[in-house]
Amino acid sequence: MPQLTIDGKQITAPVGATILQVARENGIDIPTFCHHEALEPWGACRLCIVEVDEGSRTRLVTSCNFPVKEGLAVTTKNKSIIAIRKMIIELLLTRCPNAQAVRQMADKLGVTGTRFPIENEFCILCGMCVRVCKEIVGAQAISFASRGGNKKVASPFFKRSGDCIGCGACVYVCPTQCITMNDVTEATDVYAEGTEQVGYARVMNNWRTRLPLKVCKSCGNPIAPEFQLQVLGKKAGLAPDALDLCQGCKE
Amino acid sequence: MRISTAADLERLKQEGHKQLHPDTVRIMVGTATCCLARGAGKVIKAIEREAAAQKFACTIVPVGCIGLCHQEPTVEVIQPGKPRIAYGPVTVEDVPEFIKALAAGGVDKKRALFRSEQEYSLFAAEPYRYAQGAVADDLKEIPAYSDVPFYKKQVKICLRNAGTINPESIEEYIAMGGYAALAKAVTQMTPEQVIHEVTKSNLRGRGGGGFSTGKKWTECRKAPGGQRYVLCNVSEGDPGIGMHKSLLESDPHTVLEGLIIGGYAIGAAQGYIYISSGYPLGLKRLQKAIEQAAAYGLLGTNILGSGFNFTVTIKEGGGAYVCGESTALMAGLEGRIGEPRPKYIHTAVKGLWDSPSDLNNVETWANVPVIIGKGADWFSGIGTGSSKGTKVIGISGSVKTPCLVEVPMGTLFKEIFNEMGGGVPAKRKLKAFQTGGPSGGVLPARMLSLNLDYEEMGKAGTNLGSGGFIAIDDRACMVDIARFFTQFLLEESCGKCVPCREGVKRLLQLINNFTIGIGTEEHLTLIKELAFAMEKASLCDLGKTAPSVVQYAIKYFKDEFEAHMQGQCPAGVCKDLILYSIDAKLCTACGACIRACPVNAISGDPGSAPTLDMKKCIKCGACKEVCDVEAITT
Ligand SMILES: Cc1cc2nc3c(=O)[nH]c(=O)nc-3n(C[C@H](O)[C@H](O)[C@H](O)COP(=O)(O)O)c2cc1C
Ligand code: SF4
Ligand code: SF4
Ligand code: SF4
Ligand code: FES
Repeated sequence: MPQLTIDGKQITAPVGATILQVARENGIDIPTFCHHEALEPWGACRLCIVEVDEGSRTRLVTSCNFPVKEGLAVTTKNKSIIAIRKMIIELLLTRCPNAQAVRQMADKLGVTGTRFPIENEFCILCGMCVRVCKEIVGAQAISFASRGGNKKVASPFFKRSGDCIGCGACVYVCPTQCITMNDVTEATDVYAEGTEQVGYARVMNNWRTRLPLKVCKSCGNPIAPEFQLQVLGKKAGLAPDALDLCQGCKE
Repeated sequence: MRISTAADLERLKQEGHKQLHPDTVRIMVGTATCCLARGAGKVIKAIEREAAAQKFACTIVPVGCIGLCHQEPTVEVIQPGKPRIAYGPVTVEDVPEFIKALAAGGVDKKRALFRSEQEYSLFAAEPYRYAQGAVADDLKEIPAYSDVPFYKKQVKICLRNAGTINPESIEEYIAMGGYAALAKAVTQMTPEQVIHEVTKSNLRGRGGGGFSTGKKWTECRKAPGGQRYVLCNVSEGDPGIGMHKSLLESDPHTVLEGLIIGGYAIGAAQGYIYISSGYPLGLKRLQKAIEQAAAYGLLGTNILGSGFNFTVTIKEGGGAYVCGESTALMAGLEGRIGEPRPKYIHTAVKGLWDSPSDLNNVETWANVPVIIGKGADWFSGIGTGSSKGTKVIGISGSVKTPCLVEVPMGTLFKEIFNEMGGGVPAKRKLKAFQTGGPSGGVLPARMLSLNLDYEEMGKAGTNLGSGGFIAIDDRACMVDIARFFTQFLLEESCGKCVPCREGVKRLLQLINNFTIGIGTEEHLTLIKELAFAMEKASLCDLGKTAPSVVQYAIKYFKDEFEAHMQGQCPAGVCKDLILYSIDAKLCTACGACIRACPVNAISGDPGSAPTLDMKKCIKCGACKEVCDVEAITT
């Protein structure tokens, strides 16, 4: 097991751990904006930057994906690191001046405002929604679109996603709450001939996706998106009628 | 036919020699993308038509680029027993007269550029002589190749065959000594010996980083794992002349041979060539080269009876600049979005599909057959202390003769610019030059005394990049140049990480403040502060080097930024700051500007300098354009 120091503290770390994991386990705080324990590291926000000394040279690395090594000396805070983190949060505050999570982080890092002309986005492009959908849900319903300054998270071609099961994991994981989902009782679909009522549905607003909800065979209340039950039922190898009743009627 | 021994290769060499030096006249038309853009495709058709019409028996072959972009379309002709003569430009209209001269057994002196008495060859013990004996008197007035200033200081390693062989003929490549290095490597050398030779040669990556190729190969060979890969980077998404593409189009086999040798040395059975999309000619020639090599058994199983197996797959990728970055390129090969990922473990250890992977630039690969064929000592005899061999350089921008050259490391930029690029066009003054593309720097003209050397350029704050040299004259505004490159990066960054995606956006806004005259000292300080975070915290080198151009512009051309703060663009480029006026001392009262102005902002009586109404002026510059005496100033 590698021995290392973080901010001077001697630590024995498990093999394969990242600096961030080890630091947090030892009560050392490093700010992050694109990290989630359940997801693969992404390395995009760059807030978690720290300095590592490998003996021969020191350099700045992102702690969320840098594997610990024997003899590593890590500094989580110094003048450069603080200046960089402040600039990063100032950049995010410029992009998302009204996103609460960004403002909280700015407060924490002692940044009170931005010197750049502001935009009014909410998404910080941390990619957590995309990763949770791919890595945990396994649906791969959404991804990044465009590049450079126009990058966005979106459903394929900004159209209805055929793979979204309406599980809401993306909604839950989004740090800036910019993904919204709501269930409606009177969904309508617009066809060439006119509008048709389709009843209960779950709407994933960001992904332009509307999933009809299955209703309980017994009480008629909505259970979950029909497509989600199909997918999950298939995965679990359940009989086709296994998910026909809501929790209440089952009991 | 399969080549399974060195003797087979020798036989094929004879075959190629016959193609290269036929009994008839051989007419070679440059047909790389640059040549085609200047009409070479039509010229080759016209030559075929005309030769048939005049019943002139000759062999017409497409060849690569000889680098003289300003003389294109170029045509070289070998008449049996006579020196080889280069002609240019030869346009479609010129063809009848041109062919008539050749059909009569003569020379088209009007279009002749230079003559070569012997073939440029690195491998032949005795270079092939086109003409025997002394030069005929009537040809003496055509300059000899060795006396042409453009070529005098060039040394061709990667481009050794460019313009001489038909890129679609493996036999011609073999005739010039091709695939002999591969035969030597796989039959006489161990993989370790090959790596040792490459390491000893001191070859460094030509893709921009300048990393030691031998070191990278060693790391990759030694990395734990079964499957490993060798990869070739043909992205070249930066603006410029397209050196690497031209190289690939002119001689695809040298790249392929290098890659196969690399595969043998590293222990890879599979190679990938990543080529950016929208580049059909290079792709076609490469595909053909692979087919030909496979047909002769130079790819596939048991290559040259050595037991070594190797296949190559071409993968067409996105055209974005960032797709050339190593981890983004590998993501592209894996079929994912071309986004960089952190590489705290080198890709030589954990790269494509997490296997050890060696990625090198096209030009790096093209050097390999020569290093193995002629030996590391020969190679490292060229260049400077730490930068060995040659570099292909594309010269563009404000030069008399835009061109593509290959020069030894250590060549002065002065030489490249003046002797090969021909210096600035008439009436202009060189202000600055740009190397290293969007991640390089802009340097003032006085720094032309720098030489081509990784360390020296690093010290000056720029880098060699992929080898583009852009000359910038006094008409350009350095604030505008910084804006141009930053705008490019905004569009080409992948947008994954915050410092680069958001940083480039803000950087561009800050620069734009100067172009519209509202820039301040505080903005300059903010640029510096922002640049620091971008350089230190961006995920890949695109973001890390993104502030480079603007920072060097500020460092060396601070006066221009200061002038913009005062609301003036000295070069008269930044539209919002332009105030045209007419210098009565220079004005000849010709009235051209009055007629040129689309909004009638200029008026006056014959015989005296007209007056310009700035309230009406839309800053289109039409008046400045037409004034012969440059009396319209900004
Ligand atoms: C934004 C960016 C663009 C790049 N584009 C290219 C390219 O077009 N061609 C290339 O060979 N290397 C390019 N590189 C460098 C590659 O990442 C890599 O270092 C190189 O291909 C390695 O080959 P070499 O060692 O032979 O130079 C680029 C790097 C960055 C950061
Ligand atoms: S709700 Fe849709 S997009 Fe969101 S995680 Fe679930 S499947 Fe993916
Ligand atoms: S929508 Fe939310 S989770 Fe997805 S990238 Fe944007 S901020 Fe992150
Ligand atoms: S530095 Fe720029 S190009 Fe590189 S990963 Fe970050 S956003 Fe993408
Ligand atoms: S948490 Fe490490 S880069 Fe975002």
